[in-house]
Amino acid sequence: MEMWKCHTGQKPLPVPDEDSLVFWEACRRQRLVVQQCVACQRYRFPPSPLCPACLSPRSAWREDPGAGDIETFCVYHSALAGPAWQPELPYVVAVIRLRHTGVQMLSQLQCDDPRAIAIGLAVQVIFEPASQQVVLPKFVPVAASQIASRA
Amino acid sequence: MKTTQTAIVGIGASRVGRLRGMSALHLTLEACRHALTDAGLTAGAIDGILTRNLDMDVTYMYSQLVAKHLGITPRFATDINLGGATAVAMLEQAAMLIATKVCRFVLCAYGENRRTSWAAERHGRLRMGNEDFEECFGLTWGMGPHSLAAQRHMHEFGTPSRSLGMIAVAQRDYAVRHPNADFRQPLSLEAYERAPMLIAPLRKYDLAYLFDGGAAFIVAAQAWARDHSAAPVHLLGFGQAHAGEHLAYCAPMVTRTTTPATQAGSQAYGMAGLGPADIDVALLYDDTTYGVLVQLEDFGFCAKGEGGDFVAAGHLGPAGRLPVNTHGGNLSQAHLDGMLHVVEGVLQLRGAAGLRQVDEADVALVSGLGGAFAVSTAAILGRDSR
Repeated sequence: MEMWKCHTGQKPLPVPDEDSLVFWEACRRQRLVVQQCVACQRYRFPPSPLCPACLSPRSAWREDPGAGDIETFCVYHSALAGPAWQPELPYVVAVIRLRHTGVQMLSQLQCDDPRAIAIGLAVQVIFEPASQQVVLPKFVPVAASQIASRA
Repeated sequence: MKTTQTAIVGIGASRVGRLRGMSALHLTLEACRHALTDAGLTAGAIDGILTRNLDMDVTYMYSQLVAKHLGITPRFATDINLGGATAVAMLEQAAMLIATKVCRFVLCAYGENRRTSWAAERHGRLRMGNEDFEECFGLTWGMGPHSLAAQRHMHEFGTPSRSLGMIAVAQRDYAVRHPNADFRQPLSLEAYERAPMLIAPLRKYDLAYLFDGGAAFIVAAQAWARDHSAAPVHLLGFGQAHAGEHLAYCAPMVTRTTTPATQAGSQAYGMAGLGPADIDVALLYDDTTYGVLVQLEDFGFCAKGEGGDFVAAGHLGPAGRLPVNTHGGNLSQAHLDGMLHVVEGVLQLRGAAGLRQVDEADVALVSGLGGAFAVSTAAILGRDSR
């Protein structure tokens, strides 16, 4: 793996900053929130100081129910992201389009069999604690999330 | 055919591969030395210097450091870093400096020991900007976004994995003929398909490794080149286009199946008064095989979505009608952010590419693709200056 060498010794965790603090605080409360421009009503993600469409600095945070569809994905079969990822192989990284706010979000997909994943598959957000401070928004295929909520 | 009134008058490259014990600075200076010799210039003639700051050892004003070690006092010096689009962006910047008469001779150089660097252990690592919303989900920069984009392209157009394999094999066929390529053992399509998926849908041979190496080139006015240069290669046109995105938060660019090469290509073709049919050799920046495939479409060698069929028809490689990455590319020669793509373009047009020489190579397209798919650069090089 030395030949790629873009990895770290441990899994990197987000460090909330001035722009992203609200988002990560919401994740800790099991809520997915997306910024909406007060001036032009556009939703945007990831968090940013100005609306890239109209440059307004005024925004409000809106909750997104976390239902979405897979626009593309890839399956890591090798721990190119670093040895800390070895136990999770194979794992799926996906781009999800959220249905309610329409924003794209990159995340990890929790599933038993990556071969069952396809573009267009409906997914639902779940919240996974990654440390004492950080909760990551990940996604599961909708059928699996329904089974999980019944259990 | 038109021209920018500038020309590449010198090229140089260090050895490439796994060069433990050679610093990034050493590799950079080695390439500069060769380029000066090739151009027949002394270091003192250089009045412009463009370098790329280092990945493994983030350095303050690297261009000044290189100038100091070359013993020169340039009129203009700066670092340019557009990832894989860097080399062609340097070429464009150099041409502007020459055309405005700010400089007479601009040296562009980049060398790094990304494979064996000690500095990474000393200083930690480069921040790519995607730590908070991408890396925490296990996405790696470069290869990860390319895998996501390849999957989308396959979904929309039925692009077969086998076509990606044919790109890897074609480039290896050239690298086998290159005395300064790191991977010189032949690769078969069967071996490609047997190799493990690393980030599905991409396999081992779809991905470019990190290398040690350095390369440089010198740009001067065409008028000087005509009188003084043994083998000038003329700059006919440029393009540079940004998608307004960044490697961090790669989602939009990996679901779109196009790159800014569409615009960069139009600009370069327009400036040169040429089109895709005029290109004899294409040196397409290749972090992955998919990067080559999508640029074949975006630079107009085939229609959008037909890259898979175009490659499957056998057009690439030594026996094909569009020789692509005749040096082996990032995939098989060495990965130096496109510096070696420029060097190969010059060698081909000089007729000095040895066993991998393309017959009657008059016009070359050299591309850059950086930040996954955030920025494309394009340069059209010509043997003639008409």
